[in-house]
This record gives sequence, C-alpha cells and structure tokens, in this order.
Amino acid sequence: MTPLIEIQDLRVYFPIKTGATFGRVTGYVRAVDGVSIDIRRGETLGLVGESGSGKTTLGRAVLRVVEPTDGRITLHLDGQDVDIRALDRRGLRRIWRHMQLIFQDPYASLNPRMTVRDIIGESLLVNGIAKGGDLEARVVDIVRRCGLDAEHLGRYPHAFSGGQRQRISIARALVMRPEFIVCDEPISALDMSIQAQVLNLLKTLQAELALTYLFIAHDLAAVAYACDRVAVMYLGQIVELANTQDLYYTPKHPYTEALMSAIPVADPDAAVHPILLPGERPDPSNPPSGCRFHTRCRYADAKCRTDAPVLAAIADGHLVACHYASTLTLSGMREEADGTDAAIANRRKENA
Amino acid sequence: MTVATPALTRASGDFQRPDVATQWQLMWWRFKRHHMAMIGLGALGLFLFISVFAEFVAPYGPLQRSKSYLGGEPMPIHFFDAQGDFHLRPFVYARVSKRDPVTLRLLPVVDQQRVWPIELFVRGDSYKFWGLIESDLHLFGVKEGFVHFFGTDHLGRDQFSRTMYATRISMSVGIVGVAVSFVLGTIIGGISGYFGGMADMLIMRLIEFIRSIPTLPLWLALSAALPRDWTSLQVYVAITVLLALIGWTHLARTVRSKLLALREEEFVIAARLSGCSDARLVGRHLLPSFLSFLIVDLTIAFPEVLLAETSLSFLGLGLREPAESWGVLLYAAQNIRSIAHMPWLLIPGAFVIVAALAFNFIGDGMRDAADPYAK
Repeated sequence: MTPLIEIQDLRVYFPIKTGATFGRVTGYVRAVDGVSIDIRRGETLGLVGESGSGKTTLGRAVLRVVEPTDGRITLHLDGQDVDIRALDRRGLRRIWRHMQLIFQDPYASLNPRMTVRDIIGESLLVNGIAKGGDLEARVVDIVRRCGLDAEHLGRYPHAFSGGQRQRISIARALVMRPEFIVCDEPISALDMSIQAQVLNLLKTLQAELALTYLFIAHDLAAVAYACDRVAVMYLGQIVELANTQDLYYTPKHPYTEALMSAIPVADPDAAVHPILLPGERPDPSNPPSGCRFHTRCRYADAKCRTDAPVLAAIADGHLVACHYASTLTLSGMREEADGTDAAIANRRKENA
Repeated sequence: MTVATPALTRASGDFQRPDVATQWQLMWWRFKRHHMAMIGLGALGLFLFISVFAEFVAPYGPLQRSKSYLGGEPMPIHFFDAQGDFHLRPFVYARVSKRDPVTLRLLPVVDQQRVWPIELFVRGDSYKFWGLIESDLHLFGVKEGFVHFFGTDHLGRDQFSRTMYATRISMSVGIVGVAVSFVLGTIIGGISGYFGGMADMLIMRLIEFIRSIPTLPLWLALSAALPRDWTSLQVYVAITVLLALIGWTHLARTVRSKLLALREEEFVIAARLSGCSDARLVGRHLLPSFLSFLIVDLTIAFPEVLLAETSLSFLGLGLREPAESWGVLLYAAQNIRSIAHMPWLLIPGAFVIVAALAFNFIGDGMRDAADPYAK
C-alpha cells in the first residue's frame, strides 16, 4: 500500500544575513537537513525532539507554509500523485483542501476580529465549496463533531477557553474534510485535563473522518498515547523511527535512550536516573562533523566524529541513524512505570 | 412565554454581552472606563463643535473692531452686582471711556453702576455660515455695549471670536494633515511591509533620510519657498500639505512593522491555508488587526501637526493674517509689550495645550482599549 505522503531528502535552510541593508549571506540555519519519511494512510506519526530540533519547521515545510530549500514531497491522493514542491500558488491553495494544520497556540491562531462561524466557514467560502445554508450546515456539522455548541457560532474567540479555542482550531482545519493534518504541538498550550480531552477528540475524529496525522509534540507520554509510529528528531535530522512500543522499550539510538530515561514515573518512590546529556545543543548553522550527536553521546568514538551515519533499517520498520545500533545495548523506558507504560499497553490492546 | 432573566429585561440597554460583542464594542466599553480619555473626548467634541459652528459661537466677526475698547482686558462674567443683588441673567459691567490724566489717552474704565446683560441667541452682525448661508444669529451677545471675554487686541478685535475662528483653521489643518499622512503612510508603509525586498529597502532609507533632517529648518525652508503673494487660503492649503508630507514617515513605519509582524501570526497562516487570496488576507485579516493601532497613532500624530502649524505660524512662516489660527493669534503675542500689557493675548495658547492633551489622553485610552488581550 502506498503511503499517503512521501518525504524525500527534505531540507529547509534559513539564510543568516549580516548587515541590515546590503547583507551578505554568511551561512544557513539548517532547520531541516535531509529528512526522508513516509507517512502511512490512516496512521498517526509522532514527531518528537527537543526545542529547536526542527520539528515545527518540518511540519510546516510539508505543507509549504515554510518554503523547503530542497527535497521532494509527494502526496498520493486516490489515483493521483501530487508533487507538492512543484505547485504554484493556485495549485497550493487547491492542495490545502487536502492538507491542513492545527496550531500550538489556541490564542494566536484565531483571528480575534471574526466570529467563530466566519473563522470556520472561511475556507468553504473562499474556495467556493459551499455558501449560504449549505455552508452553515457543514460548519454546524463539524462544530458538533468537535464537541462545540452550534449556538455559540456567533461569538468571538475571546469568549472561549483555551480548550474550546483549540476545538475551534480543529474544526477549522477539518471543515474542508482534508485527508492529512499536521498537528503542531496541539496540546502543549493546554491544561493537563484539557490535554486528554483534545487527544481523545483527535482520536475520535481520526476514526470518523479517516484522517492521517503528523503529530508533533515533546510530551512523550502524550505521544505514546496518540501515535502508531514515532520519529525522533535531533538537529534537523531523523535519528530513529519505529513503532511506538519498539521505540519506547527498545530504543536503538543513544539520543532516544536519553529521552526515554527522562520520562517521569508515576511512582514517587521509584529511583529515577535520567541520562543527563553533557553540553549544549550544537548550533544548527554549524552542525558537528560526522554524527551530529557525537558531541553529547556517551558511546561516541573516533568513527562517530568523522563519518555521518545514515538512517537504515535495523529491524522490520525500525530505522536508526547510528553506527553502533546493532551492537549497543540500550535501556528503554522502565517497565515498572505506570502512565506512559499503560498508554502503550492500551495501544497494543487496541491494535490487537 | 419564556421567563427572561432579570439582566436581559433591563431596559436601559447597558447590559453587555461580551461573548457576542464585536471587537469595536469591546474597545468602546474599555475606552469608557478610561476617565481621562473620556474627558479628552469631551474636549475634542467641544473643539469640533466650535470648528463647525465658529460663526455662530463667536459673538463678533474676526476682523470687526471695537473702537472704544482697544487692547481691552477680558471682561469677567458676573451674577452678583456691586450691591450684592443676584441677577438670573449673567452680565458684564459696562465700560466708559476716561482720559488718563498722565498720558492723556482714552482708557476704558469699569462702570459698576451699569450692567450689560448677556443674552442667548441674539441677533448681531450678519455673517455667511461656511460662506453659504446668510445669518445674523449668534449663540450669545449683548444688546447694548460690547462683550469681550478674552479681551481685545491693540486693534480692538474680539479675541474670543478670533479664537473661535482660529479653532476651525487649526483643527482642520490637523485633520487634513493627518488624513493625508494616513493615506500616504498606509500605502507606502503597506508596500514596504507586504512586498519587502528592494522596495522595502528603498522606502526605509527614504524615511530615514527625511527623518534625519531637523524638522524646524526643513519647515522654514519649505514655507519660505511659498510665494509671498499667495492668498491666505492658498498658504493654508500649502502648509497643510507640507506638514503631511513630512508627517507620513512615522505612520509608514508603524504600518510596515505591523504588517511584518502580522504576516507571521498563526491566524494569518491559518487564513492562508484556508485558501484566502492576498487581497482577502490584507483586507479581512491584516488590516483590521492593526487598524486600531493606526487610529491610536493618528490621534497621537494629530497634536504634532497642530503644534507644527502653531510653531510655524508663531514664527511668522505659516499662516498669516487675515487667516486665523492659534499660531497666528500667538504670533501677535510674541513681543514683550504684549506680554506685559496684554497678557490675555496668550489665551489661545491654552487652547493649543488643551487640544494637544485631549488628543494624547484619547490616544492613551484607545491604546489601552485596543489591546484585545488586556486584562
């Protein structure tokens, strides 16, 4: 079965200019530097990594909200392959009916000067998909599905709480019935209790509307709960990609190991020994030679400093970019833990 | 019949529904809580009324001379006469001319035995309202004698009436100047911010160039270039345009920076993803988002234009008599003789201060009210 989206060697570089007027480009911030992943139809692909690793840029570059520097993005709609990077402005507007974005900040992503009805219905109107009573019916339908009261459509965003605003944002993204949604940290700005509601809502909508998600987050417990597969990003590159439970329990990359060791445990007496990475995240405009992680990796040797590892399959569907992926014995998430552990178990049960 | 909640049945109409209110309504509600701004709005309203109805509010024409009251001091309004009797109708004491025994000049002296009652809606000198409608109705006046609240100048012209006419000119210079600045600033700043690149670079350098020239010498040079034989109306138009040509730079910068910042806002990206065209993006999402900030900027730019006009006229390089503006009136008050003997010629200065403060207060109130996420 073909994936819904194929990303091949995607690069997003931002030029660094010196001097305000006659600036010369003195370098590039390599926000995304050679990412290749497939996003399968109907799955939720998690994308995790620390701040500044390029998660958001990758998510936006797939939609061409941020213009990629190089690479290929192919969207496989039914019987039709679309080269996203070759589209002109009109083509982009048309393809955005199939691909949408849910934002992190529910306060910044809604125009405070428009009613909820206008915000949600705008895409139907400007794309000429529906108007009048038909538009109203579609808006009401999606609003109900997102757990909002259709009575409140005449209100302005300021009258809603953060969780409700995020529901409005989701309704706006879904009103044109797209196939693919980039969820850019959709829950990190919300309260704990609301996070769970929004996660469940996204799950329900995925089942009802046959959606595919690229789920960007840094909350590993939420990712475990929401995602089928997870990709780990470090300094603009994917270092590991695997099924959620493989990645969490048997990580093959030292960076993933460090991430997993930092998941909090829901037991106050548990001994917690997170692996503390030495040093700072390197400058993405001047990445380290060889393996980008070697400056902070406790297993690194001379080879890691010179040779860059490629993302390769170590087991079925388990991709790692590490020279020693098959020889290192890395510890995953602690089995005795609750919380995240239970979420994965639950997922395993669902999939069975 | 449903039972309405008590709040909804309040007939006064001040029941507020913040959830269905538009941004403008919310702004107005917040603005109303700003007391200084409301006072400023009142003062501005008064000035605008005076500007529109200057001929009606002024008891005399601007050039009409009170020959028996040259350089006369302001005449205070009284309710109680010298005997302590209360008059329902306010009055001024009559003046009689007496010869000064030393200088032998005729001087007006207060005669406390006679009063000149002030009446509303009196028929006085005829005028043409806005040069169109002929009338002789004045808001107030006296049937006998004369009334000069702000005194008269050395030619005997009523300072109060002249100040009323000057209000019209000064306010309109401000409004027209700000309006021209607004159009120029929005278009040029809009091009700069929306298209960016080379156009942005050139426009920004041009603005920096204009702003780096010291304003006063620039005004002086430009206004000195105006032909001396122009009528006061031509000079007035020229001065207004002149002030606007310099005033747009600040606004253009604001527009540019707002556009640059808003372009990256998430709701703008969302609108783009929804398929909005450039025109809709600007018209529906970008412009309304910073219109309130622009209005704030305009209110603050207004006193600048006002003060610029006043400064120019005060220096004798702006408007000239017989045109009246606050600056022209103050020009007459700039020699030591005036300040020593006729300090009331400085009264128009108070108008300038009040107008500038009023606009600043309104600007302050609007800035506070315009922030949609203020507490």
